[in-house]
Amino acid sequence: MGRPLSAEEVGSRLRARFGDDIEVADTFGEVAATVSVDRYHDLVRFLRDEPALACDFCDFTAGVDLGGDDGFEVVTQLTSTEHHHNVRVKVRLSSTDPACPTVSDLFPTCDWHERETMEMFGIRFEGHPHPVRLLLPEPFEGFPLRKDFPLMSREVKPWPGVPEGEEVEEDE
Amino acid sequence: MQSVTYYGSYGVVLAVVLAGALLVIVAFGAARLIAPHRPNVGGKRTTYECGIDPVGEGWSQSQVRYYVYGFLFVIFDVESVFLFPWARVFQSLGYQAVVSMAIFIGILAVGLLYAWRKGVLTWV
Amino acid sequence: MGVITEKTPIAKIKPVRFLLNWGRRYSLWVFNFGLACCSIEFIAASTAKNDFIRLGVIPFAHGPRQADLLVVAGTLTDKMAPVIKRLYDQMPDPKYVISFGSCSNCGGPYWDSYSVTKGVDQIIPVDVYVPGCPPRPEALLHGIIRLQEKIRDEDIQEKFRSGTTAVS
Repeated sequence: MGRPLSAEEVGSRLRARFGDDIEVADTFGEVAATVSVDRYHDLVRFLRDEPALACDFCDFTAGVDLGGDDGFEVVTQLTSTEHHHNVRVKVRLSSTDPACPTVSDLFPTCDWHERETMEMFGIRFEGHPHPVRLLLPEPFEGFPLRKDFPLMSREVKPWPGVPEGEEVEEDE
Repeated sequence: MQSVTYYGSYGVVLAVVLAGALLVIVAFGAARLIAPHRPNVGGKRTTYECGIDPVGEGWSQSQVRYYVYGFLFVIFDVESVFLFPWARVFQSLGYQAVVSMAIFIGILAVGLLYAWRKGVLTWV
Repeated sequence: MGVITEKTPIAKIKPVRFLLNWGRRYSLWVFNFGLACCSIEFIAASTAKNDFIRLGVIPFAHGPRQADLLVVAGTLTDKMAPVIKRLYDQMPDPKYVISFGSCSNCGGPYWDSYSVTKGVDQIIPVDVYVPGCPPRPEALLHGIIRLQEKIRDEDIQEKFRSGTTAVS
């Protein structure tokens, strides 16, 4: 009984509901909706509860560091197991103190995905029930997947660098 | 002649016991002589819990329901201890031995039937 | 304790040394420490086609306390490093380590990662390095044979007198 919606149909429904707060793009037949931070939670709830969209499965929540002043982006992909279509939701965040509301109350999967995004990028998820680090070891400092995170291998010598930042010996 | 074979069979038992003791002494003695002794290097004496620090106590509780297994085992094990020497000699003893043992097994079978009807043999 | 091997020079006499080394090298019980893709190749080496049991190496020790050989197969991350140190310490002496695959030799393809220990020899002493990404099962057999040759030529008194378990 599933009826996958095409990108235009999804886009028109989202635009009808959210108006200017959302931009819908068609990427290779799939929908990518970029939304502002304050409508993110509402959009995810709408995607889950609307019967024609019925996105009941969260594939992943990930972060992107766009570099410099472009800030960060949180990407969440939702899939409908009934209608077999995907919707990708993107939220742009600022480069200083990025914060985003959590959707782990709507999709419990996002709990761990958001924890990983938090520790790798330093993005704060407001309302997260258990915001502690998930994968990195205890004494680790810094946010490794940010573009400005210094990799020890490239500190001494630029690309391709040397292992462990060892000193490069002069060949005779 | 009969007394020699009587003590002779005990001699066989003694030889088996000595061989067993010798095996253990040689194995552990060789290990003591050859193996290096390094008991306190690093974390060697720590409790094994897949390499991480152990959490919680080492003791765990068994379920009381397993007592049934021990209980039934003891009864039927004692029965089989009586059966083995009987099986060795009953052929030379005539029908009387068979009947006596049948009564013995019958009494224990009644006990088993009682346990079965009481539901002891079904798992809870 | 260890009278023959540590306190007296009996272990240096050629026939005794030969006998002790022979017993030790053909009865290795391996505690396989499969971390990543190389563990699949290790398992392939333990199956019937390339069988390392025929070399005397028995797979799947029940724990570090019953093992003499540790095969580190796969990427060692910084989070896993204290675990492997603890498990290596819990193995009884004499013990040997084979580093299997590029990741455990030197960090491998993840040599510039923020979370990978570049080589397991930063944590524990390694006897034989088997290169490859992943190495073929035949490479593991070759590595085991090299280790057995190393044990054949080993002086167990020197190994323990020097205080470390690394063989020169």
